[in-house]
Amino acid sequence: MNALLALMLQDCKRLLSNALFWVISVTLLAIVLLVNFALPKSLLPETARIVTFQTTPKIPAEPLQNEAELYRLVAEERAIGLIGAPDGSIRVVHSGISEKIVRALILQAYAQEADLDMAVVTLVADKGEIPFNLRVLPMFICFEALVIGFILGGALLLAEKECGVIRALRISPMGVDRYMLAKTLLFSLIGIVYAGLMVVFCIGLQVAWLPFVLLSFLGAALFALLGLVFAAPFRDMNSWFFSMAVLLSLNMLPAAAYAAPSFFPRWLRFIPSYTLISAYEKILFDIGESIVPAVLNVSVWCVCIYLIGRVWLNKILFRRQKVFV
Amino acid sequence: MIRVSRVYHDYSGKGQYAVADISFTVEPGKIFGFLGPSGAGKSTVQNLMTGLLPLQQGEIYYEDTPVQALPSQFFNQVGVSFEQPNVFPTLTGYENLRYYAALFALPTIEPMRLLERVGLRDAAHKKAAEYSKGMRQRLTLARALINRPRYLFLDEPTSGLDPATAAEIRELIREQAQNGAAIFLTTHHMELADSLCDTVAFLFEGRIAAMDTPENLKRLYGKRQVHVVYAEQGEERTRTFALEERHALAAFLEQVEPIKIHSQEASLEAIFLRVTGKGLTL
Repeated sequence: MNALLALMLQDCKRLLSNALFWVISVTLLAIVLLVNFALPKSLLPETARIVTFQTTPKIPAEPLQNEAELYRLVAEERAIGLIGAPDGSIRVVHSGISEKIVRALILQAYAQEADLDMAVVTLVADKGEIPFNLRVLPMFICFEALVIGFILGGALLLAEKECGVIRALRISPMGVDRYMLAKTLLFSLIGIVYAGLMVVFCIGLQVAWLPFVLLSFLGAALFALLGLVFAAPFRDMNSWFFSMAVLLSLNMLPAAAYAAPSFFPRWLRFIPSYTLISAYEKILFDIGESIVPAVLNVSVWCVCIYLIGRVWLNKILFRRQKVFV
Repeated sequence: MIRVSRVYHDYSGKGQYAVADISFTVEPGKIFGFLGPSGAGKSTVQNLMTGLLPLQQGEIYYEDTPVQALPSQFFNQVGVSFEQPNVFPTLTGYENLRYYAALFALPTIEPMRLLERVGLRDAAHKKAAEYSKGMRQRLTLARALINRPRYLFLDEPTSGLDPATAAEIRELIREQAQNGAAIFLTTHHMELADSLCDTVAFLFEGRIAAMDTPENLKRLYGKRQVHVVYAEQGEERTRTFALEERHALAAFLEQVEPIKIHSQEASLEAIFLRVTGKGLTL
């Protein structure tokens, strides 16, 4: 354990002299300023996903065969549901969009029937409207604080390759497990600190810290592991940087679904940041489902990537002929 | 003990061997010198021995364990100093050693003590990026010694060092052997090999051309000579005889007034040239 801490400490010292580390740290500050002072507190959403049951609005919508499915889509995928009753009244079901936007939508959907009888069901009714500038916080946490390990883990690994130290590490008793654990734990801790700073400066201290820390730890660990696995075959930072940036962009795709709920292809769920964003919403704003599935999901990801990474790094980084030693 | 037996290595996969039919043993407490010009295959053999290259053909054993089966923990007993100094440039010399010391499960030597031995105490808290090549070389050597290795691999350990520091490093290497380490030293500096090694092997074009103690090699391959310095018409002159030409030498000594007579052994470099037909600075 002492050895692991010593390795983490020395990696941390190396990190402090890494320009990318300071770029990311300055970005964190920029995000805090952006959320607090630049982003508006409310913003009309782009095209929302509208699902209907027993009603036909005058805007593009997906008709469903049962009411339960409509409620599921609203709860899980933040669709807006419109339910028609035999008496002609309309029930609107949503999960946290402002009343003003809901009413504007209804007027657009039933323009000729503006005086229709309307009831609004908000699945998170008692939470009130969440300001837009805070709603983007889960995205910023996922795409800044948590990915620090993805970028800097890869950068440290490649620096070791470039200066040749990796050859010395190969013939040391370190082994791939300690190598991966030291870096993963370091970046998990940094991820928690960065995510925590964002929350403290943007929302305050009234947050469920235990699930927050747990999720941040797992999320940052997952990205650090992915960063090590991804960077391992590259020779230097120049050859790695572009493809790393492309992969980071893919990881950011769930942001598109977050901003425009109508964009929600099935495969998006397989991107870990999607699960993380939803779980942060639950922790920070109490929107959506329990975080337990998300924690399990990310934990499984971590274990899988760790096991794959162990074999992968042993083979191409440590070049040990035996893997399970 | 390290036992290397009939080792071949082919980078190309087309039967063009970088090293071929390499066999030797490195005993505890002894220094084995692997001598040859650049590109002869010295580093390939060292990389095969340390597991940095996969063994294709032949056997390498550490005591009874083949190199392919060495567990990670075995490397607690191994120290390697590379020819190209590879240290963290953004850490200080002291931090570099601290980092490396943390990898070992066994007690290690205090970094400052080692830095003092290799003449880097004053630069201990400077970033390695600011070190000269010679300083980085010394830092790499200190790193190789930090775990008191039982098996020590040194690749050109005195390359680029001034004579005083090189002498200090030689002494440090000798101490490791006295403490029982089996030392494998690759170099093309014949003086270093001559002064340190118990056994030397000449590696030429991937094969061992000769292997023995330096004394035996000199006796087997070297021409010992006698230099006679004498006075002639008020001037000092020198004449050289091969040791075998003793009758000619005796006759000459009767004709002149010798001022001094001394013998000279062949150098390892001359022997290498004689054995391989080529010099070391290829």
